[in-house]
Amino acid sequence: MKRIGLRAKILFSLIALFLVGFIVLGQDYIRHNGEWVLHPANMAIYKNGRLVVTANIMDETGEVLLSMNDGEVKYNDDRMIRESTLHAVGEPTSTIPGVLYYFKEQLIGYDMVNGIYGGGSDITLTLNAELCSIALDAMGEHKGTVGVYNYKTGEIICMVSTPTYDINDPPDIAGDTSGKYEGVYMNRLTGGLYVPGSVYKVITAYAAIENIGDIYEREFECNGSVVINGETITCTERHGTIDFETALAHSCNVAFAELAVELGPEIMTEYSEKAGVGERYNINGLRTTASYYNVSDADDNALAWSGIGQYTDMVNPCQYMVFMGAVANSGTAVTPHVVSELKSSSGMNQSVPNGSRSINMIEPETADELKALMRNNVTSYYSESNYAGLNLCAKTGTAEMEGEKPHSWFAGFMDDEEYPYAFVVVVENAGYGREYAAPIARTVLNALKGLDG
Amino acid sequence: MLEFLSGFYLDIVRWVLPVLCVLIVLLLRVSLVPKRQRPRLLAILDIKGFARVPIEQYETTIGRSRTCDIVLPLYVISRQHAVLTMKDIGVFTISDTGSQAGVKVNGEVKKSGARVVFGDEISLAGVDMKLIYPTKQDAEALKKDKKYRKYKKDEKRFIPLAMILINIVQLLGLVELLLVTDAGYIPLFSGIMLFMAALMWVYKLVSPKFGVENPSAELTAFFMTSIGFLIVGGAEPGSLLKLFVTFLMGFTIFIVLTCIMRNLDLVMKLRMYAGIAALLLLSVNVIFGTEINGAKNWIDLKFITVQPSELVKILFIFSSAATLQWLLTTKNLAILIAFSITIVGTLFYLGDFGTALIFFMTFILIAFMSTGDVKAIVSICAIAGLGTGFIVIFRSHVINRFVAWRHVWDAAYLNGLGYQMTRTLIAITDGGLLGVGIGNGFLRDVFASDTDLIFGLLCEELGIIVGLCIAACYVLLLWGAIRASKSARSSYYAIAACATAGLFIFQAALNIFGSTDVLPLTGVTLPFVSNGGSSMMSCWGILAFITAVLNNRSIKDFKGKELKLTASKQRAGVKAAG
Repeated sequence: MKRIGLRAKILFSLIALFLVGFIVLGQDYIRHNGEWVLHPANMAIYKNGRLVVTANIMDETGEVLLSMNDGEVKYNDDRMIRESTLHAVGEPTSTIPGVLYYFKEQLIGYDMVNGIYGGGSDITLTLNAELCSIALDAMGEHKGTVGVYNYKTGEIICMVSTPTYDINDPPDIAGDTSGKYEGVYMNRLTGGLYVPGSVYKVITAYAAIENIGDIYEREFECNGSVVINGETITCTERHGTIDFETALAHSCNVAFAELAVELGPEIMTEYSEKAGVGERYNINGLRTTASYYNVSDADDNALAWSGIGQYTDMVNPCQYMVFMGAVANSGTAVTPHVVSELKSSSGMNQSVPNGSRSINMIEPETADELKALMRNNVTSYYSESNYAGLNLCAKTGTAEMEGEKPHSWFAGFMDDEEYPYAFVVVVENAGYGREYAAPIARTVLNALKGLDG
Repeated sequence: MLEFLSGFYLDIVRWVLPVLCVLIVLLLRVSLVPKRQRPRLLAILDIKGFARVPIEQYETTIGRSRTCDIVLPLYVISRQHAVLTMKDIGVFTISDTGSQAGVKVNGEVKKSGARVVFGDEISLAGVDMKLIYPTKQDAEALKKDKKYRKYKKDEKRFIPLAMILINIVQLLGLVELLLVTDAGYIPLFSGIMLFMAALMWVYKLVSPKFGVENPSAELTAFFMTSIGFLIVGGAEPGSLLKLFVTFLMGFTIFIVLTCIMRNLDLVMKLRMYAGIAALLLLSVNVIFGTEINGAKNWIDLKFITVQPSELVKILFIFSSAATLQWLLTTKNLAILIAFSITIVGTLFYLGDFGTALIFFMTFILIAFMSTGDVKAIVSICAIAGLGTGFIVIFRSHVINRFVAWRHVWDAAYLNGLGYQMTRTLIAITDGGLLGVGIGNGFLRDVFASDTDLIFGLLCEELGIIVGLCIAACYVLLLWGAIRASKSARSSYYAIAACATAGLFIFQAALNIFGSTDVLPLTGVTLPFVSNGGSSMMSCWGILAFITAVLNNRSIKDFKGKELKLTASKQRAGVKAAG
């Protein structure tokens, strides 16, 4: 029997092989369970490509932006709210990947212990639907974006991207030839990339403050244009002899072109990166598009153009808004988030993935100097009376486009303990920043303050 | 209100069931795989000028080879000289296993099955030895042996607790099932599950009457079958009655076989007839078979369709296992090989690739356990591998399974060849560790979810933990069979039990890993769990082989008190012989 006993022991190898099978299966499972559960073939949560779960997406006031009830998807009753929050909420088949896409796992209520048992979580956003509607209304027929966020907490209160459309009554987007719906599926705040124009001067100013000791004693001579490296850089007007502060307030191209050349490509690149150019922020899973600044092949003239936000400079509105937030918040940038609360069907609060984080972007002293400069922009040039009560610090931008009307930028923040909001407004191919973007920002910020007060 | 209550019930029970199942598996392990074996002394072989050798096994090989139970390192002794078999209390036989110099009992030359009792002189090639009745000192010496030191007296102490826990699982599961089932099925399902719960206890009380002291293998099977009933009841409520009836038939076969297994002489006589019956059954299948899903291994009896190949499993193992005496005195194992090849070949012909593979595996296990000839087995596997290669090439539905293997998520296979596997994996994920509740899984809408894909459905509805507990049961059965083999009363029991438990784990592996894309899909049932009548019947039938090895360690009259009883009984044996 010894022999039989020994042979039997060899059968332990069968048990070992059985366990190996489970190890392989376990590895597949650990690696892919997230994909599997969200796979469109998952008949428990998808019917005809649509999620069939029970969950709600709400704004900060509890207004239901989207409710899903076992296959029935219902957006808010108000058309303006539907249109203005569409890019944030997303579209059910993910052509617009909003919260609906990035929080699929939470919406279906999946976790490894419970599986999909118990149904989905309710998601509360940081957005204020009414404010978004106001922003959308203010944008009118223009393409572009409005972003407003709390620079202390990172909560995005307004995120509007135009063009948008009514999800309950979708237009014939594919068949449209007028260009009205060009890039309608893109969230321009997070995914857009624009020539920045003069708003880039704040970054050049940032570099100048820290690298040119006597910057505030400097005087710049503006004759309406300057020749650098054989080519002319024009200014909007003849500013005459101006100091640094006035140069920024009046957005003098000559002054900033000269500053960029003086600072040189290394410092310009270094400070662009410090300001967040090249960064991709993670907004609860949604990654922003990186801004772009590259002067490695630039001659002095190109370098000069890059310092005033032309040349090959491209800026993502959200990135610039975060930079504005850093200036406002003594140099500490708080990255934005859009989901404030996840509540499971059993009423338990769950942690929200990929929330805000803090970045030490600017030295506090420098940030305060930039803040003073931007405050001066408003008080000395943009007219404080237009922005009464907002304690606004801002910068306009008019990004020249070859053969098209310029993009109109307005970005900044309210220097206000109670309303610590930074904002960015981009209006595509509209005209002067002050003329198009600034009034939209004023409307939204006034509404924001009025809303709470 | 009811909806609220059922939701509340499920919220709690989905946590309770996995905990209970884990406990059940842990408790069953204690009795199924005892830590140490019980000390046992059957006789003393007093080899003159050599040693007093305790006989602890019912079958003892003697020879020069180091793998013999009693090693006589003398050149006159053949490598495998003789085998000493205990027939009854104090009654042995000795058989010459083809030695050079022969075997003598009391001076007479003997070949096979010569009777030996206490006091008889045995001579192997002139080496004299005497079979004697053990003294108290011998018994004490044996108890000090290292291998008995950790023996815990009562390995069966947790059996009642395990049974109570299984009952709780049955009842909690039943209520969970009733909450989602049509009202019309409530009496039937309640009846079936309560019957299962009661049958376990009746069996536990009655089974010692036919020699079963350790019912842990059956309890494991009861546990798995009950879980299977719950899942099938949720997915295919209309078929549960049929499954239950086939379970009863299988249970009956199990009882009959368990009774037959007690008498090894009878078993050895019946082996040949079982073999013939197996071949007949298969030829009936070849002639009258109906094709279902590409395999012609079904017979339509109008009121029920059966797969004779499943029943052949019972006969196949029954007729292929053998005692050491038979193995060592029968030179020609060709008949076993020819028999096996006929059966496996027929199944291939019938197009049942999965079952053929399982039979082939069983054959390999039996051949290995019987001969220990690794070389021969490797060459058989190589030939079979080539043969399978040809089959794979010629049968398109088989090659398709290999094409999609490990690529089931590719767009080309997602809704085609990989449909069942991807849905199974999604279902397992949907269930998480605790499951979404009986009857709530989406996989039940997928074809064959209650048979080939039942592991996925089980994991989806009761959770991955319960799924793994079921998988652990197959491991326990094989582990238990391996453990019991070294002290089995006969190699017949060891071979049959190891082949059976090996078959279970192999079939479970094909089912679980086939449906989850770890292996190519073969479409076999999950033993004891799947909704397959013939499979349920055969699984319960062959379970008798595992029960036999766990319980026939001692001869029936010993009642677990071998050492003490051996004394009086062996004296009786001496008298009987005298």
